[in-house]
Amino acid sequence: MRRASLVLSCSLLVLATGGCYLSSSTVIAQFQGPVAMNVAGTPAGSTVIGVAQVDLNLNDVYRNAKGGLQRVADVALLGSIKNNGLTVVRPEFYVTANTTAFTNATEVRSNGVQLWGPINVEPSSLVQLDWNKSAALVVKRGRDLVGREAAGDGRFTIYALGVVTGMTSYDFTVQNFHCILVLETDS
Amino acid sequence: MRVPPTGREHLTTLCVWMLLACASPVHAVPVALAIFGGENVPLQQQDNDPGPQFGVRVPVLALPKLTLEPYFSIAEGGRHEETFGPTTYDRIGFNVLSYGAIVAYGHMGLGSGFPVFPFVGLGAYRLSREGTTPRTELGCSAGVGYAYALPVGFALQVRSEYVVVPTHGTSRRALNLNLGVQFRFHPVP
Repeated sequence: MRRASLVLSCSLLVLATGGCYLSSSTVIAQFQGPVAMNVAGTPAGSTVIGVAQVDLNLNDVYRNAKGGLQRVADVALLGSIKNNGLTVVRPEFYVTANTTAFTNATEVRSNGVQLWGPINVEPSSLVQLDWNKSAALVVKRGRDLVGREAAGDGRFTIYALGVVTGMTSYDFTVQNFHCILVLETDS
Repeated sequence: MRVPPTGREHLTTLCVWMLLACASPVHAVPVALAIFGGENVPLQQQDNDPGPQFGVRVPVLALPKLTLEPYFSIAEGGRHEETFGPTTYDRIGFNVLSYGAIVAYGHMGLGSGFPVFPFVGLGAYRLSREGTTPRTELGCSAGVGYAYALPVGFALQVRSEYVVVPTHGTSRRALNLNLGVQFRFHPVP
């Protein structure tokens, strides 16, 4: 009888310890960006950049989870990247806090942090981004900034840029851009 | 830097546990080796679907109605599919490697008596998958099992187990349902 009481006490202790964790959940919030973002640049420095001004408050899942949001566990950028040129391009994404409207790559790199990439896209080819590989390409500093903004006002801006390699220009299009966040909440 | 134990090290720990149990001065302590498999069902995790679970356990009937059991298990989360825009994507589930021990009130097939046993456990849970920083957390479990003794030291077990792995203010929770078969190797049947 004493042993039964001991086991029962241990069970209650375990459940009580875990009690504050029993209502938590993990949800997926998404932000849909522009259907097509054209990005181009030349070695001389002129650039066309892609801009997605993210407002997570437009997403029902985020709005419901925000009150109990503990952390952003996972970030991924989805969509496809089409290389419009005849040389390999290296797309990458940067993020800035709040809603910003920078117009060239130099401004973005000096005011934001790298969020994703880069990857190589072969000439005249289309790369469909994979959720798992995309999550692995996210840079920690960028993910941390997205996490802070998600815990704050839910607004940040993602920029699509190209990396100039050698003396070649680049020209690519990001299609059906989505930013995916896995949110851990305590409610 | 702390290096997480490898699967080989976990198995070594289990073997050491078995040898210590067999070398116990109380020679009549029953010890068994069990393998099990079943389903791991993540609870309230949109990014992690149900998947298989399997592992090994070493139940030791330490007292007439109290069993201690170290275990080692691997659970594979299933792929979660979701459509964004015109494209359907999938995210692989977590690979959960866990090791620890449970305490059960009952003989778990190593003795005679009531076949149903409640149990609680404590273990280390390593969660990993592509694109997510791996982490190892201390988790706890509670559940109930049913043991059916078979001839020559064999027994079948069915278990249902609720697992909570705290993760910095939240948790990853799962329900494990599994079936196991065990062989009592000490004392020799």
